[in-house]
Amino acid sequence: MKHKVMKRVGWAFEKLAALAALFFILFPIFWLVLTAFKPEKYVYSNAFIFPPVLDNFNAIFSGNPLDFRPNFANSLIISSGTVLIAVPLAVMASYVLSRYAFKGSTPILIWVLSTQFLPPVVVVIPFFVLFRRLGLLDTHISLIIIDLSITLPYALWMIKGFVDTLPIEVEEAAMVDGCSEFQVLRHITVPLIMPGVITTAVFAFIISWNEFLYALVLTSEEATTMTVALLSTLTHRGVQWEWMSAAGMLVMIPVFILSMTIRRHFVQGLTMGAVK
Amino acid sequence: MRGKYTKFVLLTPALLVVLVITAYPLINTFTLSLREWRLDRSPTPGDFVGLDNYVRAFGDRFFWNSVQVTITFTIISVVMSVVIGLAMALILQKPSKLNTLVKTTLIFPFAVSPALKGFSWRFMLNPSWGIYDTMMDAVFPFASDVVWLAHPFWAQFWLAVSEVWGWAPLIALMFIGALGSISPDIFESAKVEGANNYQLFRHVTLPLLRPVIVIITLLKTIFSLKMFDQVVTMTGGGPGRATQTLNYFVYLQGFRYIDMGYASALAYLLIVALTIFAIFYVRALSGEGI
Amino acid sequence: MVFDKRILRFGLLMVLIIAALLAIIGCAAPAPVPQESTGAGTGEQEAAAEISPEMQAELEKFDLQPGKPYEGTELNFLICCATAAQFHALAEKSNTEFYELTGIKVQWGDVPYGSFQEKLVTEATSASDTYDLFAFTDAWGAGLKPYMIPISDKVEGVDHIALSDYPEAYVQASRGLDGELYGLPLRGHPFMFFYREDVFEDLGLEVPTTWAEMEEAAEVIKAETDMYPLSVYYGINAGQNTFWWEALLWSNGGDLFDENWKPIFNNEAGVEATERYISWLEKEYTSPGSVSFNEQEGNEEFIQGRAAMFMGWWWMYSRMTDCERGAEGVCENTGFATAPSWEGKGQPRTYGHVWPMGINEFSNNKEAAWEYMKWIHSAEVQKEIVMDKSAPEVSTNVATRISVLNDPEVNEVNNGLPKVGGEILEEARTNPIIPEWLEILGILEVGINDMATGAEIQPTLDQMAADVEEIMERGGYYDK
Repeated sequence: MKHKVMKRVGWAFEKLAALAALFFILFPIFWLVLTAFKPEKYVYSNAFIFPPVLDNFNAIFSGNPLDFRPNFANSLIISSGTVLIAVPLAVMASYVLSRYAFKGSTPILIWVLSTQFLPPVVVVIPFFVLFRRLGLLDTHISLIIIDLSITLPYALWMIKGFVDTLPIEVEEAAMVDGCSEFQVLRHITVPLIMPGVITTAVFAFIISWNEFLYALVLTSEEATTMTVALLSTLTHRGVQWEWMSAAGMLVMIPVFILSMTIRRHFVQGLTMGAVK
Repeated sequence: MRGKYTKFVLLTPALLVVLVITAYPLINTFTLSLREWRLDRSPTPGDFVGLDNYVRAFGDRFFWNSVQVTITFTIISVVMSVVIGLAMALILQKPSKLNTLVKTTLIFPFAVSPALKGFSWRFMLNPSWGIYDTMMDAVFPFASDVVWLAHPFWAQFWLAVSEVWGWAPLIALMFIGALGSISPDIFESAKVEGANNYQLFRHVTLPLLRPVIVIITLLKTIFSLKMFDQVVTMTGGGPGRATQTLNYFVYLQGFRYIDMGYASALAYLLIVALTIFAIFYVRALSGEGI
Repeated sequence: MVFDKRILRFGLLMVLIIAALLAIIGCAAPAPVPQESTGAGTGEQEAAAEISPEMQAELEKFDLQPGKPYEGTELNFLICCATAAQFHALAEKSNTEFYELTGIKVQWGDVPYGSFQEKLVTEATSASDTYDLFAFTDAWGAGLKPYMIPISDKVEGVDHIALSDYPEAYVQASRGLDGELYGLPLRGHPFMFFYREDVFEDLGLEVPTTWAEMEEAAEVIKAETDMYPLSVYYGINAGQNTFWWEALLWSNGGDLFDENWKPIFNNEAGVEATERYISWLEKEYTSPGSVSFNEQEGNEEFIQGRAAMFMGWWWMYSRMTDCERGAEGVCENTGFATAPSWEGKGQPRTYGHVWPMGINEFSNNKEAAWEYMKWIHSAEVQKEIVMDKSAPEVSTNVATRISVLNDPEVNEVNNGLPKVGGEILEEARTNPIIPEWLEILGILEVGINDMATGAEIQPTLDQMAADVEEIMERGGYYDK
């Protein structure tokens, strides 16, 4: 009897704990989404019930007073551009690093890994100076270049992990048939690791999409991304929280959708395979 | 011969990009750190001043303040992330419908842009109409007098919480993976010997997880030291200088007071700190450190 | 390696969905281009035709060059906040009226306000010709002035722009340390006292003219209502917590610096003023939340009906009188007055906040930019902007010229606010116009916040003064 009660209590505790975790995880997101649909009046009280409106989305898209469409486009362009450069380069290099353990390949990998520990604020000062001199401040290309510094090392490690899992025999057979490394890579390896490549691309896209410091320093108007544009909800009148929430939703949703697609590899990618 | 050449062609572009993008700033920041350059005085770098900028940093109490803030923040956020992450993993590892649902949500907070995280937490902590503030007031009587972001300790705490919100679920995911790879036989035999749940955790699970815990702790430490976005969008370094992390302090000097020389020197000091942890991390990864 | 094909398909699908979403967003709103191209058409026609007498009169009124010598020029103006009604209205007017007169198109920037300061400094100091015109708030100006052209001589040559028609504080903030003028005041705000007329009336209170009277009123309000009497903001945000403090400091005869740039805000007058400023928190005149509030959050307390008195910039008036927004009774009962003075110590002195506008030294269109300056800073244009109440997004009470502030017609449609604002500005001051100001402001706002959260006043002020002195030392102010 006592054992049964204990079990019940244990069961209830487990469920409660799981629900608490769920609340901890989702509530901030839920609240943001809720606020995005609130009329201004209800924002400054903790109302759960209110007449939902689309005014806030209208306010940030219509150009009256804000227009986030260019920023959304900038974020898309910059993130896609970064992915389009980072992923092919990473595929090529990681193939070599995975397949040919030459002297120096381990140091190279560790070096690539360690670049991730460079604080962004260190990277941004000289690039700011450089881009300023080249007249590249506030351009898409400058952000794509600098975003490579955070995406390429990840991509390299992730794809290497995927290549590592492929049995080498297939490639060897092709090699015997007289294919060059390049042909093997192009026609055999890449198609086989395609899912991994896409995972990596999505991951790189998310990193670049969420990036804030580089965009804050290197852009002002033309190339401002969504994360920095959030700052324009901080008007000279203070933060318009309902606009911020609506814009925030638009920053979050694409990333949520994308991260669902690579859920399984999220951890692996982030830790560069250190934790599987 | 031909093969060698191809390898070179495949490898070079990526490495070159990584090299240029990381080595250039490292070298350039270093030379800047040895010069005097205030943008409001001159559009080009000024004279070499030797180690003056570094000397200035060591005598700057605001620099030391930022070092202290960084350390406090890092400790709070690392400990909380790892402990909460592990707790969540232990709760969620048992298969059940609810747990599966919760597990699918684990990556969401991390996917939220850190800048947005800072904004939304500041919104929720507003003393007059913040939803978290209201909830805290209802649960803890002492909290009704506390203005979270105006109190030095609480501001650091909540800044850390906004970071933990993103990381703990992700760390839980890592631990769930690690727990899953522990053979169930070990638990079974321990149970047969009469171990209770606590003993099981303390003497079986924890030792087995130790390598993973070390790696996660180091990884989180590095990311905590790099944290920047939320400081801008959540606290702006306040109250006082209570949340001016080293990263933010470098940013202030460089892009608000536009003293590029000093900012570069500070940035270099940050690199030194991170390098130490990075060495530990790499050693832990290659299994030598543990 | 296990990989689900479904994930791949799902991924691709999502990319398509996002692309489609973007396409929808991209198409949803009509682009504003057509209107501009119509403008260009008429412009050309008029250029070809003889200049009409009305047009001639207009050109003369603004002292603009006839014959559209700069036709087709496009000016880039680095500015933030397209949401500010004044800017919205001016930008619109520029691309219709000014364009018709000169054929010059002006592209108003819209940098996020949150990052405007950084942008401005980095853009201006990058010695690039991207922007022709800059507008900046006074506090950020000193570092920019080496990158802008002096305009004293140019202003001399224009009849309709007289520096005497601007409040002295505004003009001072537009000058460099060398005394040369680098900009003209585009936007400016007096620091005003706002109060709840209904509460004051119910309790039989008079509008306070001194801080002591304000404190007496506060005691009554605290005892008789469940509101906070005041809403102060001691939080850290771009130096906002210094405004009210300076009003106390200056009205008590104190100052930030002496004539040798030595900080003196920790002297007797400074301590007295600071103690008074912080005491309002201790006496519970203002919500405990005040210690973290920024200006807007402080204002929100008033708007939500939780506080009866507030001091802030005059543009906030339109927010407080917006009945859609606030708590019941606030919008129709918001009264305004000049700032209180220190009892027995003469006039109130407040900080007059101004956004000068000037020309980039590296601009390739300096002459065209000057044409625009002549037009936009004319009393005529300023008056038209503050008279226009046709739509909420353009209706504003912000003007900088004394003649406009005192204009009876302007006051009639703006509730008399401009006149009171003008009175405040007569006695207003500006902050030191030195490149170190931002760093100093950082010291001040953090110190004030520290004292609000419990730090002792005298030692904190002394430490702040020592820190400020170190900055000045490094800046070479004590070399001689």
